[in-house]
Amino acid sequence: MRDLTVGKRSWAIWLPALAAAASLVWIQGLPGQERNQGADFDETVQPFLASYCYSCHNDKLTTAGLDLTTFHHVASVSESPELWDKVLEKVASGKMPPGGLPEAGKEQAEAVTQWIEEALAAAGFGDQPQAGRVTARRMNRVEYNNTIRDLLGVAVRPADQFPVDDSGYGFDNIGDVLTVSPMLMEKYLQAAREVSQLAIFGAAVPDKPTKLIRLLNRRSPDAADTASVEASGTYLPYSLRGAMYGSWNFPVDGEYELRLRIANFRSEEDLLTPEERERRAEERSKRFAARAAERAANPAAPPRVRPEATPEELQARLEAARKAAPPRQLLMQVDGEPVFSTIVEGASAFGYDRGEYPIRVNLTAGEHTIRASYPELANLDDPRENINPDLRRALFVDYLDIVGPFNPSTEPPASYHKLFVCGHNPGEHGAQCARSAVQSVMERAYRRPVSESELEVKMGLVNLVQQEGDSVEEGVRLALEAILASPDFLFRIEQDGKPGASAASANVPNAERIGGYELASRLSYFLWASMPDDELFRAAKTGALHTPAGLEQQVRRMLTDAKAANLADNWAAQWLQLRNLGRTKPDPERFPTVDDELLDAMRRETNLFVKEMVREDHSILDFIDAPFTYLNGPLARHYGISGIDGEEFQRVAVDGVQRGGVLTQGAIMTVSSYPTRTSPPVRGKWVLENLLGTPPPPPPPNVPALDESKAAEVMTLRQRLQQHRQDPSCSPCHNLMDPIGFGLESYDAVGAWRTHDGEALIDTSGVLPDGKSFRGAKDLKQVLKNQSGAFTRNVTEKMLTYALGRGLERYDQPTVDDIVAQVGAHDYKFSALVMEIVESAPFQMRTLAGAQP
Amino acid sequence: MNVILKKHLPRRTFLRGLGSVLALPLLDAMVPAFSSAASKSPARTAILYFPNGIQVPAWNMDVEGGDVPLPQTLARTLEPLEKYRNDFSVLRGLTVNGGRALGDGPGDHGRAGASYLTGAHPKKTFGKDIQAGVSMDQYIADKVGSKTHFASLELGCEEGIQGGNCDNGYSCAYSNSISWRTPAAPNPPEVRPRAVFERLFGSEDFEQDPAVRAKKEKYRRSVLDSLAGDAKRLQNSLGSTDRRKLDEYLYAVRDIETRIQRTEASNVEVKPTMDKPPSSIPENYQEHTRLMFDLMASAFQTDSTRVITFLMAIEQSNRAYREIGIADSHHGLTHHGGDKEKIEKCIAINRYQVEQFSYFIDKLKATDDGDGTLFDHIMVTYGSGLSRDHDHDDLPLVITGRGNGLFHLGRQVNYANETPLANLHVAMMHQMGVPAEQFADSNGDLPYLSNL
Repeated sequence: MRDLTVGKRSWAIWLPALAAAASLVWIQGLPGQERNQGADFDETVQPFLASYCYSCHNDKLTTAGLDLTTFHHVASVSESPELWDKVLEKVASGKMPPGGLPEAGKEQAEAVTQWIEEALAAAGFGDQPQAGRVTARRMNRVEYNNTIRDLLGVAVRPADQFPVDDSGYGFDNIGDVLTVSPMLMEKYLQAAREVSQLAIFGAAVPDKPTKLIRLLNRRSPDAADTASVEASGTYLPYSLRGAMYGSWNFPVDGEYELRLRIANFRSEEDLLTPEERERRAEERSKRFAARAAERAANPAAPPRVRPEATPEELQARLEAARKAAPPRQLLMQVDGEPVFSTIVEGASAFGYDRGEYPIRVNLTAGEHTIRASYPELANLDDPRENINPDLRRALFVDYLDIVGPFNPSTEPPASYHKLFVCGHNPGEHGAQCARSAVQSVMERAYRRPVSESELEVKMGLVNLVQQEGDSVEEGVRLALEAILASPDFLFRIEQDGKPGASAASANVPNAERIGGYELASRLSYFLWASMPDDELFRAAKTGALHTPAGLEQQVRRMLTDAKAANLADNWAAQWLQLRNLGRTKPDPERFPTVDDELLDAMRRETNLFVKEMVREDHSILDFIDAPFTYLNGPLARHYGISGIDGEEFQRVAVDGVQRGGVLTQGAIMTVSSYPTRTSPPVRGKWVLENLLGTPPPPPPPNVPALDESKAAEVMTLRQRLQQHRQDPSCSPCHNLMDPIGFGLESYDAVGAWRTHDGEALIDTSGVLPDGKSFRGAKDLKQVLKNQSGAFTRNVTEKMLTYALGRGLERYDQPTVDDIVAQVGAHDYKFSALVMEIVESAPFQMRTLAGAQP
Repeated sequence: MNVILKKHLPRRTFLRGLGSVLALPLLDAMVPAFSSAASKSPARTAILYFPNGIQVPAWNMDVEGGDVPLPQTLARTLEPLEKYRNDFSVLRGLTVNGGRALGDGPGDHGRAGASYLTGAHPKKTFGKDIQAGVSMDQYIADKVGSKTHFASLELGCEEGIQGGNCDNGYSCAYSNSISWRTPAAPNPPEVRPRAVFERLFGSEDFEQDPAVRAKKEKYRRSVLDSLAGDAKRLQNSLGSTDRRKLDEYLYAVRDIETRIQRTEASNVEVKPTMDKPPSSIPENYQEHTRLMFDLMASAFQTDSTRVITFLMAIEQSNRAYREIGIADSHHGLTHHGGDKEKIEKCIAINRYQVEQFSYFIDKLKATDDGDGTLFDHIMVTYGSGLSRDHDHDDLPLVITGRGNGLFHLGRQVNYANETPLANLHVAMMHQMGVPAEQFADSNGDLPYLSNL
């Protein structure tokens, strides 16, 4: 075992199980141990095996199919490297021998693992980068939607209806894990039919403008309010500030009417001081009592009738209602552009029968974001100011009907021209048009040139349709349907020994370069989660992509493209576990100011932060700590930061004490908490796992996963955890996790800054296993920055895994070592990490079929 | 292979496509005696799974004897079933050994989900090499699936988790599904009511003109032919792991081809027996489960499928049930450490789910089916792969439906602890016509199951 902070490779950090041991070493900083270079098999290894292993792994029992007694010399390592790798992993992680080891045995084990590592290195499993093979990857949902968009430009997101993709190694783009079930195939076929129909004939437009959808605002943060099958609307997130926001796919270019209905439940009553309200209530009950007494005294008297109000009185009442609540702006935006604004005046009694606001907008087919809100409410110090005593919001957007299309475009859809590259008008397409259309879309869909025979098969479909008496267009549509459901489209398949793939590099044995088109796809799906664009295809075709300069030029161009948002939206969001944010929402009773909109704001903060990291090419160490973040009015108020107003996000300078770096962002602090409270071990584990890449091992068998509730409530969380750590089977990991989590206790379970937890003062001090003490997030971040090697290695592994679409193997370690060293030498620049990855052997090459990497 | 068949038929007969899927003609000799007494309507199977186990005092009813009437007072969790006390039975003592650690350490949730219907001991991994077993519903699907449009349906009320490692080193795939088509390919459940509806009854209107319909079918077949051709061409040029992916693809294409042929053979419009559900997933749990139960009843009634698995929530679910006042995550609560308030909340959630289940019983009894109601012909199990404290023995299990006579209702049957749950799977497979003799760790018949 050795220091993990240097770029030097160490198996320990590699294998997940070993990582546990590594994390112990990380902080304990074991004294530099002299390698026992001289240890040889007979002196070190054989006695150990004999004492601890042979009893099960012998020629008779061969437990787990393993007989260790047959190995007698160092050559066995090069003969069966994988087997020895397994032995190494099992012994180093303490999984074997099963009963654990006595002290003396532990020292022996240390020597044995070292011996195996050295022997493996000597056998060629050493410092040389290897390529490896990536299993054919089917597109995941994100990639499918993006690819359809970029291939045809049609306004649909079919993959939203596909089942959730399984993930492996923390990412949803791992070829080995992505499967095709019959149900998915069914959906592929349906999507292919619908998309091909849309691309050629456009969306089916209703004869006359129709109500297309009703978007409904949720009534409360609780799920119960959506309980109505009849309300055939789509519910949008809950906003305490009464906003309605979401996106919708408009079927066709045309004019649409957005019919907006607002709710104004402001009443004069709410504006009164509590004393005044009480005085009036008292007056009222006195009046009732007096009237009741009157009636009791004279039961025969006719009932009192309220006199009709005069027009003047009505006018005065209306005027009073208008003045009873402050005017507020209502703003409607489409794609961030204002399309409508008005002033909402007065209390509910004023203008109650206003009805809908009809707003006409011209929109292109496709997804557009819609937001209707009261921007001034973003600056309420507490969003509950917009909540009435009866729990209704005083002001909110009630619903939005989308009606249309008015004057829909009668032009063929844009995709039509993209498809029929012959340029002829509809109705004038000949056989050659069909052929060129099919060939061009096929090549772009398959992301490579297609052979004559492949083309012929699809042209057969065009011919069939024509024989049946349907149009050329219908024929091309059917061919497109077949192309979109073809494995060549759905999978990214890399072929062995393709012409154009150049010979193996001297440095990477048993491997060949992947073809230019394959490399283009690797790049585009890594950086954009979509297919290559025309320029990238060109670079593949000309071979420019295989030159260092050409490659770098393309990568830099791609990183500045809007589609590089993928790195924030998908890579970083999965790395940082943000997809789990909001899966179980924070308890609204405990955190009444946290609504869906604030959770979205948290997500957006981290998203904008990562985007700047990419765009401005920051040092990746800025993930740990950075002097900036992105906030809007509500999120700034949640954090207790003053001077940030409005709904728009803006870049904000922070000093690193309370805020700065992902660890201090609401999204991360919330996702690493329970719905009702924080959990230091969960946060500690989050840091170890996601920032340092050294997840603690699972709890030992038969111990329930951390049970914090065992102790009575009177103990603080800290005391309870302390008790927990006294259990020797818990302490090794909790001694690591808990202090880190305590360092973050100033952030509550929704990421707000706090100094107290209930009555108790927050104590953010922690003592690391090496005895070093620290206090608070700022110190903790320093501790992490001192681990920049481990951090860089972890980010490298996460990004390389995502870039390759496969889990990393032990033979990838030299590659990771190289990248880590190079990134360090380039000031940890984000672009350096990306460049090093795309230039690495596993990204550029694949191991020859049948060869060992 | 985790199933052994009578007559020791040659192995290759069982292998089809990718998985070790059972594909045998139903031999009369293999049909269990009691199903010959069955009515004309086919038997159906619905497996309902709930996560995170139960609270023992609120579920278990300790009554002496092997096969006894349900006690006067039902356990608290089961109270919502009171009005059906003659329509369900409680089975005790059944065990899924494969869910246990067996040396693999913690991870009971992942193992519970993946072992429940497979009986397998899932491989501990969160990478590429997930491995469980073929689930019993898929053996049934393979046997009776050819008679219906869908061989099986997999449904649920909670979207699976993405993220790799869900439970102490076990892939999320293990807890996201209970149905496994092959040992490496779980069937992800569909959670969107609208999507299920459109699958069952089509998203487009039924083409009334037979000539146009025939032409459309011809086009679809040609497309499928071309896809199969693409896949076969690729298979020939690829290495083994890539080829495996193409095998999956080809299997799926073939499956759809067969289904289309069946539809064409019948060539009639399947008319929905319920209204089209709203496009968004209801957040309200009760509304969501009811829609799904309606869809299940509809699918059975239209004979669109004969076997459905349904996840009330995924294993290790963190769902909060705020509509009954519970804001904490379900899984979090089950680690209650003796805290009374948390235990009560766990019970409330279990009970709330049983309440939803009672709606399904209602629905089955109210749905006409051939010579009776669906209730007469279906076998439903409602259970979890976890019992107390993440254990895998004495699993909570309620059975309902008469299953064409297989299930004896209104009883509690106490089996000796450690009786494999697989014994029940075998009995149910028999009733569905699967000639399985042994499945996973099954070791014999389940006495008292039937009063035939």
